[in-house]
Amino acid sequence: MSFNINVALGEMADAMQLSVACDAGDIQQFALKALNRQKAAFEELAIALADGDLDQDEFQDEIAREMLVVETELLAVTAMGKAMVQKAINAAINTLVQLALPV
Amino acid sequence: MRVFVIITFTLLLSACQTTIIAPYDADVRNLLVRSWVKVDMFWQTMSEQPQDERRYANYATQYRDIEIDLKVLLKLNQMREQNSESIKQSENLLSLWQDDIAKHKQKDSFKDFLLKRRLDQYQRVFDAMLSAEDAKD
Repeated sequence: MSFNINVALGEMADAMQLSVACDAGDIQQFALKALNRQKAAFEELAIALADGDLDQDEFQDEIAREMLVVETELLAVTAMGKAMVQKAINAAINTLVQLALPV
Repeated sequence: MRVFVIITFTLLLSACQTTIIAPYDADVRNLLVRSWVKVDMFWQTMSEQPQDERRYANYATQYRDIEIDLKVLLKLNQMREQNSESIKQSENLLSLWQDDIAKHKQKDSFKDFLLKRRLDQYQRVFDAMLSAEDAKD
């Protein structure tokens, strides 16, 4: 049995890179979409206050709710980032296992 | 001897794989999709009624039914290890829903503008929760 640590490290790095490349685009896309929605929501609230569709108390309530929504969206980005790292670690270890213990 | 060390090290590494986030849960995803549809239908139905006829009593049963689903969702997420983001997301969702129940009960009406906001807000929250869950798959 031959096992070359340099080859193994190279293949582990490739596996991680491939895994990260697949997920990074999804995270970026979601974050951009969330950011645009947040901007639109705050603009809508400001216009509603100016136009009298909301009174001051309602406006404050809506801002507080909006902060919860924004936090929920940011938590999704965090979870997606963690999942990306998890998959990259798994990909690297699976590559190492396959190289060290070929079936 | 060298082969033995490599195999042992690899097996140990494989067994000790770091877990930094909970694995994907199909039950949670199904409940999320079902709750999203229920919540969306709830606001759509309400929007078909004139603003001054949106009495709390007409919606109390549906509010409670959806609240139960959201509590189940929170409990399912709390039962999973390394799941802090989804737990907090579920808590936020439940807070928003309970805030709507309390305000509707208090005012016994629901403004058109706020109803439009609810359709958008819950869509964003469920989208964020589903994106987080799907990323684990």
